[in-house]
Amino acid sequence: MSSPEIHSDVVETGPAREGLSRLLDLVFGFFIWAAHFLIVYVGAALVCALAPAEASANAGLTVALALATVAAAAIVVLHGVRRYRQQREEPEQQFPMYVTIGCDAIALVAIMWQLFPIFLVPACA
Amino acid sequence: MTTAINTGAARPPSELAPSATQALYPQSTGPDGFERLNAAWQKPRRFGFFTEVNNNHIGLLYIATGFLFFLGAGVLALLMRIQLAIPGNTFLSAGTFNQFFTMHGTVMMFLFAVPIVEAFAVLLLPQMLGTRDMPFPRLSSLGYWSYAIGGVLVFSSLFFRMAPDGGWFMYPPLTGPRFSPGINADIWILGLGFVEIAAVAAAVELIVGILKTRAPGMTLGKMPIFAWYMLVTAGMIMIGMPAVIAADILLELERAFAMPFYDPTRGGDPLLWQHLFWLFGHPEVYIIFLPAAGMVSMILPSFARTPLVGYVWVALAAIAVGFLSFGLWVHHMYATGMPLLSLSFFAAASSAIAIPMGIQVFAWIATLWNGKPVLRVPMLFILGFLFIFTIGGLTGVMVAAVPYDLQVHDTYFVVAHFHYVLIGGMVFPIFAALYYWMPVMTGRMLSDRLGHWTFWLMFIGFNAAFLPMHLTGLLGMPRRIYTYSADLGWNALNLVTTVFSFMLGAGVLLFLFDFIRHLRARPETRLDPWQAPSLEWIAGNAAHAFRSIVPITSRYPVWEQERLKDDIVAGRGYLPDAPTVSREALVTSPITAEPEQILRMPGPGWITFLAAVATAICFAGMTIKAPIVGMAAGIAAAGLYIYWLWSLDSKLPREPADAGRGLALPLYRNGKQSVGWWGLVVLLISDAVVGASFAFAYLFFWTIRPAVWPPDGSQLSGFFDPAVISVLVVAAYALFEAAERLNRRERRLAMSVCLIISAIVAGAALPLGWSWLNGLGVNSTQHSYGAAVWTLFGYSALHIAIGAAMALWCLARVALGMIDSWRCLALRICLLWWRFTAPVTVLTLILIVGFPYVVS
Repeated sequence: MSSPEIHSDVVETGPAREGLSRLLDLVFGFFIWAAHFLIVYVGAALVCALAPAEASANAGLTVALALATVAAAAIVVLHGVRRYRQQREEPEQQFPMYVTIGCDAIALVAIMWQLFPIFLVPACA
Repeated sequence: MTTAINTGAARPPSELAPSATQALYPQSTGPDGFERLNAAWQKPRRFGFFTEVNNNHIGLLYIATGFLFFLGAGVLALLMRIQLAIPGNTFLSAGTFNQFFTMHGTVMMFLFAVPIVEAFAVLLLPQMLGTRDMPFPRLSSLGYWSYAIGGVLVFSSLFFRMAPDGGWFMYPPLTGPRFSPGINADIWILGLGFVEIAAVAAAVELIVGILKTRAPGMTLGKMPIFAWYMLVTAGMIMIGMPAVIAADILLELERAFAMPFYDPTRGGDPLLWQHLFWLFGHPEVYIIFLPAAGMVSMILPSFARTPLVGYVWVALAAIAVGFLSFGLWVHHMYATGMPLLSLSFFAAASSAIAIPMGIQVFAWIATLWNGKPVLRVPMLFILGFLFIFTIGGLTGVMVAAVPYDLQVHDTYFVVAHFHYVLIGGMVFPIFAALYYWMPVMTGRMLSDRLGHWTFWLMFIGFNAAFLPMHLTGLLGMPRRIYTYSADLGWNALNLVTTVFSFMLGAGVLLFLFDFIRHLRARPETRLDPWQAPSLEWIAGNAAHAFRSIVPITSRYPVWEQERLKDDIVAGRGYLPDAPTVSREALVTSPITAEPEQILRMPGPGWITFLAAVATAICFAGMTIKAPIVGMAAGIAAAGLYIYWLWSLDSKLPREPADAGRGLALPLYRNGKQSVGWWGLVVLLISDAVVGASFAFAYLFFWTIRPAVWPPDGSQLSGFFDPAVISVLVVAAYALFEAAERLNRRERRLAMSVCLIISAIVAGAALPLGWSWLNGLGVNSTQHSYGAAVWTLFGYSALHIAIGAAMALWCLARVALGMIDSWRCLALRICLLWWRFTAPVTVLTLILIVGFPYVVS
């Protein structure tokens, strides 16, 4: 995928670390948020469509959804911490670092927020 | 070829640099250079209205057209208010009323709100970012003309009494073939399809423009905040619009070819439309709101005379809103009987989005607090925005709660809520922007005195018209009824609303009068009447924007960079000249904005206008069932697009050219730094969303009726046929990949053979797939399952067919010597298409073949 332009004899002036993946890393937290949102929403819908109204299944579903939420939250926290360790020393990366960690933080709140419906609303009701 | 190559950021901004003497096309900072620069960017004297592609010209036309649609849809609203002023009124018939409210919503959302915010971005962003034009000027032009012609077609259907009448969100089954047999709904689908495509074109343009064509030194953290908002908005259009495009395609397939996606009697489900529509439709609210918030964040510092408080926080909030808004769509569907837990997830997300929204509002208030605000007309409109939008937000919190929503769903309470959000959140900021940026557009100021009148008429008129609507709704008046009986207690409230809606209209009319008058009567102003901090106030409405492009070191360059304007005007920045009298701008890296390339841009031409006209005639001909006209125009359009595409990837010298300030840069890039590569990446992301929407439709049909699968009595597929098809497609891709490798070593013959075989292999996969699905007995009209499978197959097949055509395209260009190891961007972009198509096809086949095994 990442084939350098080996036949250009013009010196590359652009920095190497500015590809698409570097840009998308800024909003990594929200990708996890989106994945988590889809997993709990689709997962709950699927389980309830297949095995509706069994009390034990419902309790299991609640636990599974809560675990998925905690796992997603942990991934986001780890990502934020990792980027902080990598970038805090580099003066040029300060703004991208703030954005990365900020996105991780807001995504973290939005993910944890889903614990309200998970614990307060009975599954498959 | 070693020349004086330097990274631009290292040099202090005010130092006059020598030109890179050994490079091609030396730049001159003198008057001769200025002459050539002007000549390159001059608007053609004849027919410039149609042929000019520069962002100043297209942006102005775009804004003017959007405003005309705003006026048109506003007139419809007033006519409806006349009808509703008194009970039992017969001013409009029920049918006309249906057409009017449908068109009012459709035109306001699709032809005014989204286009006009894109229009402001097209007009202002290049200047704000310190460049000269959008990266693909002809794409903006095509997008504009498509939108203008498509929009006029949709709007004029009103005059023939054929306008869409199913509500602006067009729910089936009402809009399906059974209950809407006329062409009204087709006009909506095809006309809006056109506008949606223009929006995606604008999104590609904006994303690539913001990431790749900023002034050197303007890192992500130094962009004007409006650029952050537009980057997020464009990203949301890129993801959101394709969902509704997919929904439109499915609805038109149902109407034209009887494929039962939304027909429950044949396994379909109308809720599928609601999911796809609102997956777009809720982000749409923020697609409209975010640019307006961006304008507010630009205007406030000018009047508070202090930098925006919490720039990083505001940028973060914009990103957060962009993402979280995709988790809210079901809150338009609380009343559809979905499971309670599902609804609650969306209710939770709907309240989570209050965090980033709150961050923005507090940042604005803090900015006002921090500075010494000057109360001019744009500021008035911003204060009006804060007041109205906050009320709309409060009622928003109310309707986000499921039980409350069940009470007020489909009543005038909701109508009042979303007018508070949209008029407060978008129309008032747009008026602020019009007053604020008018000197950039026309070189003149609007009247301060009339502006005050306009504001108070609009502000009082709006509140007095829409505040009572909350009550009307709570008293039970449903939306979209064309009349009501006198004994329901709604009479006085409706009359008040009608009277004051005319006051709102009078405010808009006064603005129009002021605008027309100011073009003649008002004196030309000095360019920077507000002493604003951003670059567009140096550029003004000059076609080339800047004499030269000076490195940017601050978020508020006009305030904080000394001698900035002198350096720009004296040609001490980059590209002070146009040595070959062609339009040029700088390409920079996406994060740190280091200069990478001199971008040659296309100048004026007829191609975009003609292509848009031919496409419009094609769509219109198909809609009004005149297939011969449609086909003829379609062929003409195809010819024009092919001619256009062929002219891309033109031959440029291999040696670096002088960029000024002692820097030499290449004129051509063939890899991931090129704007073309970024453009296709953005387009493919949109494309992937269309595919994902089709896959969602397939899976959705199973979740609503999880029965024996396939449900239509067709056979379970074996693995042999799909495996053969997969191998063929992957082989076609691998051959293309090999062709690209061989091209790097200049092995032209071997490469040509690879391309030919790739096209043949890809072509062979298509009939094989066709006979495989037919052999299984999958029928596209019997059951929604078959319809979904054929749609998925059709989506892949179209990509494979285009991929095969690309192989032949590259072959022709190789044969003509237009592709070699250096000039190979066309080849690499086609390869990128295949890198998308091959995995998507394999995944589609796995879904079609594997899913029945998984669930049975």
